[in-house]
Amino acid sequence: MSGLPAAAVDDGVAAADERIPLTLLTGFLGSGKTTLLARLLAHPDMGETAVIVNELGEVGIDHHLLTRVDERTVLLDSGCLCCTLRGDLADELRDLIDRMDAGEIPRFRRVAVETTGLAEPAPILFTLLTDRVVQTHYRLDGVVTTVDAVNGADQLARQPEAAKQAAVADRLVVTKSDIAEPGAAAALADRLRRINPHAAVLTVVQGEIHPDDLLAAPVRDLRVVADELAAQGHGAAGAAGGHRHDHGAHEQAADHADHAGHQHGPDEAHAFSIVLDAPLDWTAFGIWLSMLLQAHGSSVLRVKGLLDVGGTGPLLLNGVQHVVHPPQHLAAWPDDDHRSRLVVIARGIEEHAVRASLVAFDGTARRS
Amino acid sequence: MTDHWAEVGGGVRDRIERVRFLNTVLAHWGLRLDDWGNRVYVLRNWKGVGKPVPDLGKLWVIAEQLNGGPLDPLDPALIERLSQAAA
Repeated sequence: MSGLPAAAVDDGVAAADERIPLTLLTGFLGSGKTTLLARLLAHPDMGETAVIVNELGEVGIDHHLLTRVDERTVLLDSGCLCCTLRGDLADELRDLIDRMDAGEIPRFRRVAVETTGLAEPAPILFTLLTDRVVQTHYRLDGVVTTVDAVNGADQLARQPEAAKQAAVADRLVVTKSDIAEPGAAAALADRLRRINPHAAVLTVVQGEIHPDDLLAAPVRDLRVVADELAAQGHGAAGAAGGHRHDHGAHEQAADHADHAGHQHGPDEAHAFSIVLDAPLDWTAFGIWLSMLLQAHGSSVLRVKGLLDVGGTGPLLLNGVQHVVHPPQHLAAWPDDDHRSRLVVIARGIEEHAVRASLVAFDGTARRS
Repeated sequence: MTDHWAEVGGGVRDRIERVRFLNTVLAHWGLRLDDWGNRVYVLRNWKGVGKPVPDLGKLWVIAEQLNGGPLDPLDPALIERLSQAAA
C-alpha cells in the first residue's frame, strides 16, 4: 500500500516557517499562572511581544504602562503589547494582524495567549489549527503549563483537566516551590516527567524567569524520550530485519515488575512509546490513529511521533486528544537511525493493546 | 475526503487504496464504504442503510451511528482478525 502524505511534504521544513510563533499559557486554577504572567509582562526583554490576557486588571501592569492604545489594549514600557480577550480567540488573533498592518499597534514578533484555569486545551488548539487566516499568520510554538508544588500532585490525581493540561505541555513550569513542603517540588517534577517526558520541566519561584526560557525553551528530543520509555518498560521495539513483534501481556507485566519505580494505576496518566524498525504504511497509520482518537480520544491525551513513512526525511506528528496538527515532513533524518518512534500519553487504556493494534493495521496494509 | 489531516494530498490511487483498506477494517462490523466516482463516499451497514461521508474524521462518527455502537481499534477480535489476514 501507500504512501506519502503529499501535502505534508509540500509544507516544507520548520526552518522556513516565517509565521508568528504563538505560545499558549495554561495552568490549573491557583497554579501561579497570573503571577508568572505579571512578572513576564514586566520583563524588559518582552519587547515586540503581544500578550492576550483574560483580565488586564489581574496582571498588575499599571506601573509599566507606557500608552493606552484603547480600552482593552495597552503598550508597556518594554514594548510589550498587552490586550484582553473579548470573546473568540481566532477573532482576536485576526484583529491583532489587522491592527498591526494598519499601523494602529506596533509590530510584534511573537504572541502569548493566557487561557482560563478551567480551559480544556484541545478545543483551543483546534481553533488555532483550523482557522485558515490564523493558520496563515501564526504557528503554534508551544504550550506552557503551570503546576504548583503545593496542590499540583493532588490536582493531577483528582482533576481530569489538570492531567490534560500537563499532557499537552511543551514546557511544564513548577511554581510555588518556595512555600511547598521540602521535596514536594522535586516529587512533582518527577510525576510530571512520567506523564509528559517530552516536555521541558522548569522550576520557577515568584514567576522569576527570562521570557526566552519560558517562550522558547527547547523540548526534549523525541527519539531520546521514546528510547528512555522503552528502557523503562513503557515501550516496545520492533525486531531486527524489519519484522515487528509485540510484547504480550505477560511480558508487559514482567517489564513493569522490573521497573517498580514507574508503576502507575490503570487510570493514571502516563507515557509510553512504540518503536518500529521498518517504514510505516501512512494510509494504514492515518486510518488507525483517526479511529483510535475517535474511540479513545478522552483517554489518549497526547500523541507525538517521528515516523518513517518512506520519504527522505521523517514525518513529524503531533496530536492532542482529537486534534492532530497537519503532519510535517522534515527534510532529513538527523542520523542513520530511521526507526519510527511514537510517544503516547494516555490513561485507562492498555499499552500493549495500542501496540498490537498498530502492528496489526500496518501489517495488514503491508500485505494487501 | 480532503480536509482530514490523514488525507491531505494524494491522488486517485491513494483514494482507492484508502477505501480498500478501510473496507478490510469496516468489514469487522459488517460495514462497507463505497467511493462513487472518486467524489462521494457512502457508508452502508449490513442492512443496506447508507449515509454519505465527507471525511475520515466524520467516517467514524457515521460508522458508530450505522453500527449502533463504537468501533474500537483495540478490540482484541479485530486485532486477531487483522493479524490472521496479514499472516
